[in-house]
Amino acid sequence: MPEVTAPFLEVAHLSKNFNVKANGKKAILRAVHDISFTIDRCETLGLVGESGCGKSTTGRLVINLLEPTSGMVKLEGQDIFAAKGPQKKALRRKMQIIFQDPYASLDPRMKIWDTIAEPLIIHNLAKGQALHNRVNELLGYVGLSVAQSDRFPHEFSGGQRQRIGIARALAVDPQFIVCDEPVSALDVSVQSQVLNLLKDLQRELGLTYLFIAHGLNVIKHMSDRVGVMYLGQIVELSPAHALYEDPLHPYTQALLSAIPIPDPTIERERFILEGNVPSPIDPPEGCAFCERCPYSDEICRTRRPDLAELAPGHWVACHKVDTSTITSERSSSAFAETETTCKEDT
Amino acid sequence: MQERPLLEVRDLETHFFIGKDIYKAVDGVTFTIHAQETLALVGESGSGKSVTASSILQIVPDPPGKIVGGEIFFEGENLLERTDEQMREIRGRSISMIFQEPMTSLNPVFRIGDQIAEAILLHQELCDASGKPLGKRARKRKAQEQAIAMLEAVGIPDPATRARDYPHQLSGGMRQRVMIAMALVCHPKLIIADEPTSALDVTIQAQILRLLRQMQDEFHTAILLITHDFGVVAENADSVGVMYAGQIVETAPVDDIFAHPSHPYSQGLLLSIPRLDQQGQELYVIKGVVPNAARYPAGCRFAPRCPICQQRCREEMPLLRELAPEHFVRCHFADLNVNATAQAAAEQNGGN
Repeated sequence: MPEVTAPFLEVAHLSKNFNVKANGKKAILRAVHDISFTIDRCETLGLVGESGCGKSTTGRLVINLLEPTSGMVKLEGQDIFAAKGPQKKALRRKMQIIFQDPYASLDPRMKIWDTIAEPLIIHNLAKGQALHNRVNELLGYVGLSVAQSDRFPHEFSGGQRQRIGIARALAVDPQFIVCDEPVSALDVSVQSQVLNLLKDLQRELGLTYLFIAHGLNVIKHMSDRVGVMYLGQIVELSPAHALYEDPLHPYTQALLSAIPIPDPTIERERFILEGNVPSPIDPPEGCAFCERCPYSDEICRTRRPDLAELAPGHWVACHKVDTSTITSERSSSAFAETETTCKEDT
Repeated sequence: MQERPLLEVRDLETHFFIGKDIYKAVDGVTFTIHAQETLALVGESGSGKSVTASSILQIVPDPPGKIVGGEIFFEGENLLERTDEQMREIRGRSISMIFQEPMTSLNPVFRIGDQIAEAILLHQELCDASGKPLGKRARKRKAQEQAIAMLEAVGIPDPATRARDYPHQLSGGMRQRVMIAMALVCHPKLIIADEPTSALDVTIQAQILRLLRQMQDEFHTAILLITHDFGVVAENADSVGVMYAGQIVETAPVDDIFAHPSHPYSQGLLLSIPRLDQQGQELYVIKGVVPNAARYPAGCRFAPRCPICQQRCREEMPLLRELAPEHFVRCHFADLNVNATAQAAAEQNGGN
């Protein structure tokens, strides 16, 4: 049976273009371009990249909040874009999202009890006493008290609001949750509470996450596998430990090297990128990264590299990575140093 | 480091009077910065970092804010005794500021070259080769030239053309470079950088922080760096002040604070960050929330959240005491060699 072998979530050749105006003329903004990945049940796939790289658009596409320009997303073998009417509503129950900004994603005029109850009512999952019990249970999951549920969003702190958003997402008993930068608006001490909560919930409820963030440290903490996005494409996709220990794509190496480590005793060789991310309107012909890449040459400028599996489960889209020993030496040596210094220190 | 510090802030108190409440945003902040040194102020939102910075330049909105106590000595003179006019002379010339959000702190309707030139025209005597003051038009031309040179120094490609751009035509990283150019153009002795990279992506953050360090070496500026990112602190600061609820709770040289964090709040903050160089276990969580600035607890402000809190902490506010040379901590029970928070976390995990 194909269902048994099919991955939990399958994304194939997904693209999304937006029609925009640039300098008064119509133009096409290529937000997501031909990306493919899969997520297994109970797994967390982290998506990381800088602003404008298309990670949030990807998050919205895979739960059908946006219509793709082309491509396909299958959840448990079912094409989510083909589903219509009651089928589509049933799919919505399986897939939920937690938004970045807990200040903007809650209705300021709804008491939080109503906010959390609304999805249950819409999907006709509970009413009367059962509804009460379910909402109270959800409040308990995210560490809020029943007494607090009679308040409005503005009476809560950022961390508490994010908990409300999580409770709302959990209400319909979903299997798959897109976490779109769930902690980037929060202070570090609050951030750790929310990250721990998300991990506990995943264990208890058997959830599958697509975890989107721009912080590589947060991604490392949460993810089993990580995809690195640049200008609408996945440039590296790998098990988390392999990505951090031996990043193969020059962009991943630069991204890792750019993150300041909270330990003044670590001395590392920095690999600082010059320039900015190019505009997704009229992106470069060849490799998206070639303009900032220290190793790029003619082939990079003319032909887009495909994702290739260079080690088991470790996919990289780069012309230079397997031929040039410079990159792999640099990556392994620079990070091996960091690793050993840390071990001595702790 | 025995010479007189460049900036010395003593018991600074800045309160906000809103309705019947008094919000003590800054309530007894003390620190010093020496010439060419970088001091980082770290803390979570609402801890009073930015109000401290605004107080130094006296740009706290009044009303409702008011500096109600303390002293700010800059090169030996108390800034709080200066008149408004004298303060205008100091701002931008001796002390300048880089704000978090470059888009909202640049004027959207003026060309960036003109905005930088304005600082020069306000603060500098521009003379010709023989030392004679220049005429009006020559002054403007000279200021433009200096502005373009400064844009080049901060790494903006094609500076003469870019000087004619408006802020919205530049990317976030470029705008922050313009802010830095503007802050540095009069060669100030102190730059206050309030979350200069928080709005930027990591690869751009790395560029901007490198630029700030280069500029510091070139112009011998001291930097008061306000941030919430301990990674940025570790790689850029010489010394660190940790703020909590309007007070400095710990201050130490940068190596000390990471090797021996002594205040339970500093310990908790460091334990709660997910780290690239460590395997992810359960993150430490500082329980509870930051107290309301209008209703601080009577004793130690961290007492309700502290894993080693005792009766004395609830009754008596601890004072900053010197635990080791240059290492001060505001805690009754802090011990340089004991990470009480890590022990509490280990027990908590063991219990589960």
